[in-house]
Amino acid sequence: MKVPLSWLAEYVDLDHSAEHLAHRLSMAGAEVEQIIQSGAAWQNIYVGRVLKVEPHPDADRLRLVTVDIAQDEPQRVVCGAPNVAQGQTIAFGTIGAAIRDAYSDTADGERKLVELKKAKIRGVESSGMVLSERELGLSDEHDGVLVLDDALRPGVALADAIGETVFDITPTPNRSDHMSVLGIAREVAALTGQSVREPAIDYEAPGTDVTTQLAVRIDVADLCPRFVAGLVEDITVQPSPDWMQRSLIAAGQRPINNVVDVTNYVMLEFGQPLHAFDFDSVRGGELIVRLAKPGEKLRLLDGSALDLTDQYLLVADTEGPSSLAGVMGGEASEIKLTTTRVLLEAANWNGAQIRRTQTGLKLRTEAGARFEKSLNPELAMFAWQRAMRLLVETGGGRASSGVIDVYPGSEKPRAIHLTRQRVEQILGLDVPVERVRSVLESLGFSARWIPPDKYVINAPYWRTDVALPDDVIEEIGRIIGYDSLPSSALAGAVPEPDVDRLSAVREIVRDVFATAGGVEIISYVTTNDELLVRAERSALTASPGVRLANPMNAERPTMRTSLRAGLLEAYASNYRQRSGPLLLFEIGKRFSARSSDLPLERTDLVALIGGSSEAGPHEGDAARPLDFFDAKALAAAVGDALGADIAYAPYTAEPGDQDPALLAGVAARVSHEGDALGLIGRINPAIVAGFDITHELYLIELSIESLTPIAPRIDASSPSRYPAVREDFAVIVDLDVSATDVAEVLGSHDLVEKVVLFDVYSGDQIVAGKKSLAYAVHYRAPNRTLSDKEIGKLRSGVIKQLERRLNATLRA
Amino acid sequence: MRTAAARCLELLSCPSVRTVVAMTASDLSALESEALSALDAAPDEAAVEQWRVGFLGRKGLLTGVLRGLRDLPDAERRIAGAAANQLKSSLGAALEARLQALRSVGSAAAGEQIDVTLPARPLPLGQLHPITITRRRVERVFRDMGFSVVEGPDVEWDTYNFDRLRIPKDHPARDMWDTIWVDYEDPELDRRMLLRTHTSPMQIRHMETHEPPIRVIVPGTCYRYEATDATHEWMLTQVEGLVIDEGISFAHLKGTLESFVRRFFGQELETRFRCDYFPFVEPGAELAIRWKDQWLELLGSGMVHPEIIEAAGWDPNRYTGFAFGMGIERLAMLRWGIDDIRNFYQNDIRFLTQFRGADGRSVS
Repeated sequence: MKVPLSWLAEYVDLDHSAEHLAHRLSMAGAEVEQIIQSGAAWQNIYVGRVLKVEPHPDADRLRLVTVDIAQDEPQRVVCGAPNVAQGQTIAFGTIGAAIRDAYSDTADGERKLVELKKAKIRGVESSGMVLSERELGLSDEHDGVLVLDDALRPGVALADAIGETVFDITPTPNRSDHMSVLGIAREVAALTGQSVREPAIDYEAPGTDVTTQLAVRIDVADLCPRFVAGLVEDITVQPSPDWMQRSLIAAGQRPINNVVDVTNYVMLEFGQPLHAFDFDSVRGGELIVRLAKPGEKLRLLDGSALDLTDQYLLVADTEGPSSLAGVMGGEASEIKLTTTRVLLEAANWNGAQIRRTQTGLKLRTEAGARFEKSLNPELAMFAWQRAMRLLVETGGGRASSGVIDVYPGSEKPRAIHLTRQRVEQILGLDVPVERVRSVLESLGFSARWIPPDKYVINAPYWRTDVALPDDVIEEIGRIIGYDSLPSSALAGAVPEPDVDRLSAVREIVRDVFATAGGVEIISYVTTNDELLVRAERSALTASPGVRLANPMNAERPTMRTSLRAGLLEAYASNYRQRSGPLLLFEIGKRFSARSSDLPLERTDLVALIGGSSEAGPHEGDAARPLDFFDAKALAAAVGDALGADIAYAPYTAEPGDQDPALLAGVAARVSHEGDALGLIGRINPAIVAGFDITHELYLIELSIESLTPIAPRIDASSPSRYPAVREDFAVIVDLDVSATDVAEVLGSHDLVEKVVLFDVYSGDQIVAGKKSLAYAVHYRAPNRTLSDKEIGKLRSGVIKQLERRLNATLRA
Repeated sequence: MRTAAARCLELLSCPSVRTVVAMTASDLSALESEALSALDAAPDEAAVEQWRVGFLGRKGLLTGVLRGLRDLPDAERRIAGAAANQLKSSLGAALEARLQALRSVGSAAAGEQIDVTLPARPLPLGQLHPITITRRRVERVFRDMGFSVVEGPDVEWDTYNFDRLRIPKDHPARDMWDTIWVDYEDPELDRRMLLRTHTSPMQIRHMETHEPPIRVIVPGTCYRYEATDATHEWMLTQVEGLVIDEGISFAHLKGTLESFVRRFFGQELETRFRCDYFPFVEPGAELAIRWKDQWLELLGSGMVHPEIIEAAGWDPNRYTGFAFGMGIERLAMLRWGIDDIRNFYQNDIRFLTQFRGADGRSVS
């Protein structure tokens, strides 16, 4: 909403600077986004008077115009505008003036600024220019030059003559009154302790009684709470007066003619949109407010043709649709230069209906923007009277006597009961009665104080947003100023904490990966099928993705069902930046659709690790390509961080999965006490290549949900004071026996403190099909030194077990 | 207390005592341990030489003892002599060992010279995402004020995201949140699925399962159908806050949020509250901070709307509360001078690894 301060000043005194006023308004809720100085760019542009208009010797369409700008010599320039005439007061740019290039594009909303230079046009020197609104940046009008009020003195800088300070205010959706100059004036009045000078709404009504000429019927009372109409006969359609044009231009509206301008002016002034019909185009002497019938058509003022359905609300005459209610008028009943009888409508429309219409048609108008906020039906009559007055004032003619006022939605204003105690309960401040009353009265409320602690309050009709006691409290708070309200720390008992183990585990895992050298990433949650297939091969099976109706990126219309693709993309775009190994990880949600319920949201950790350790300058610092066991180290670290005994089993593809995402020989399923936790292993080289990554890549994928129930089991004891005995075993087993199986047998006695694998060998020294695993087993008793005899017994017992359970022998 | 050595010296320095009858076996062993500990304490070769002179030299203690033996009767002299000779040889061996040790340490200390500016062996610490760091810092500040941290679903029903927050269908307030809709409608319950546009639906969800007093924050990812530029991202991280109890007023809203600003930024910043509108609060307020000579909007807030408290089944005359919501990206951008919000989700590690020292895994 653009509010020119000159217009605002008609209703309130503006005793403060624009900046101060803008600040006060913003703090109270009417946010002034910008203070626009129109004319700030008008350098070397002056008010001029046209002394003489002569034909151009060499061009029919050009004329030579002599302009007085109160300098020694009048200026003679070439002008192509058809409307320039002797005696006019115009805007004149001298050499060096900054003007808008009328034919540059408007990509940024504004045309390019250019410097006016001396020119020779068709053989005639021209050192200046009579300017159009477009060239001045006032509007897009460029059919002729801007004609100014004759009261302006030639030679005055244009910025001083018609420059405007304009507040660009963004009203919050609840404040329909902030979409009007009067509404902002009321705000200023309340903030500065004044009262508003209400605009005059009385008018002479010598004409015929409108009710004898027109009937109005409302078929859908819930969608049209009120319809007010009247006639002005013998009106002259002509340009509106300068003061009105100036106000409209400053507020960003293009003047058209007095009738249209009056409806726009009053809409901006009161916030109530109005509509003017050419009454001679209204057929049958009746207007009907009804829903459209399927198949009906309506051509709108902007020239577009609508195929209507029964969701659109119309004002129709007896023959058919006349206007799209509350949004835009129809072409057929448009005001023409020949119009002499104007039917003026001020209606009230159901906000939701107007909003559905605008959304459905993707058509947003100034009128619709106001109606969709559900205006008060009371407003219609005031605005209608104001517009009747201005129509007569600007176009002559006779206003009809009587008024059509169909008002099915009339409601008694409801009193709001507020207690002094509630004010204190909400604001934390006991506001004195007198202060409450003066604040509310300055805003147009009535507030009656009923001792000992009650107020009975009536909100003014323009405050559709105030219905509850707490709404009134906001009024009190914001006018006093939030910064004047007290501030205090929370007191009272701290509630029992909500313990969320899942997020706690998630953050522990995050820390493990960051501490281990990982860089955390966060990817967009949307993806597409191609990307999923590229990242996971045939693993794209179980969980259907959540499809978006209006994705931000049309190429990524589904919510991810796995985090892998995002990491692969991030890895691909980053790994060349790194000389050493790269570990990227993300912890985030994946989504799988469920029938008739919100999708299942599960949280995964996914990490990718690849590259080589760096070859440093130190002894033993040779570069080493990272492998499965580096990935496993990370899973193991998570196990340590959570106190989980993590088990690893060889990864085999799902049945029927011909082309698994992980390489079966170099991958493992990770579990805890039989519950699956996730996967680690080398990613299928075809996938890696599909993302343009040129080295081996290992995946760690863990389900945070599955990690969450793991509780560390800690049973602390004092360390034994007796020595440990180390016994080494070189065990020869079949190749398919896992190291864990052997370690389990070796460690199966209570006296075993730990089992450490220190060598794995298969080759010449060993029978084919076998391998040798060398372990150090540490025995220790809590209460004594173990004797050689005991150790010997333990050793032979273990050897027997190895033989029996794993068919193992000891290496000689 | 007199030491054995002092006693020896005393005996030796007294010429009238010609026999050292008092040098018993236990005296010798005390002398030995004293000599050995003195040897251990000798820091360098010069000190060891001094020690040698003191104990084993021609005028040394032990030499004196041996000399004194001459006056003893044969039988006693043989026994005492053997013991003293053994002591002499063991001290000699200790002397050699000590010299050896000193020489090897000395050679290492004197000889080896490393270039300490050579690179360390890699022990890479990774990097948490700046959004994680900032979220944790916000969580920490509020936990310190007695808040719990709870989370909710990213994919929501419009009933939670809008209707029950007093943002009905066909209401202009819905324009405050441009919505990404899921391609799913539930005609039976007249609800549509969407990506939550804010974390506020969790206010309703939390009230469904809890009773006052309530003091929670809700961090979470939100989504807006919004063209991206340097200050707008369609995916964003919010933290919602909700406090409901008896006796909660706007003063507590102010006090809590002012304290948050102070603790989060670690300095006293000017703050101001202006009136603003959110359908689920009344009165509504926006908090701005003075940052580098500019007022910057930081968060939206307000007193929980009485209808929302009533809808939760509580008496709005008894329970009042406040709610707030803030963007994590904005906080991170302010704190670290990030000029383009799009950096957060482009996953360029050159951006992501700039936050060294910022995370403080245990002290956020």
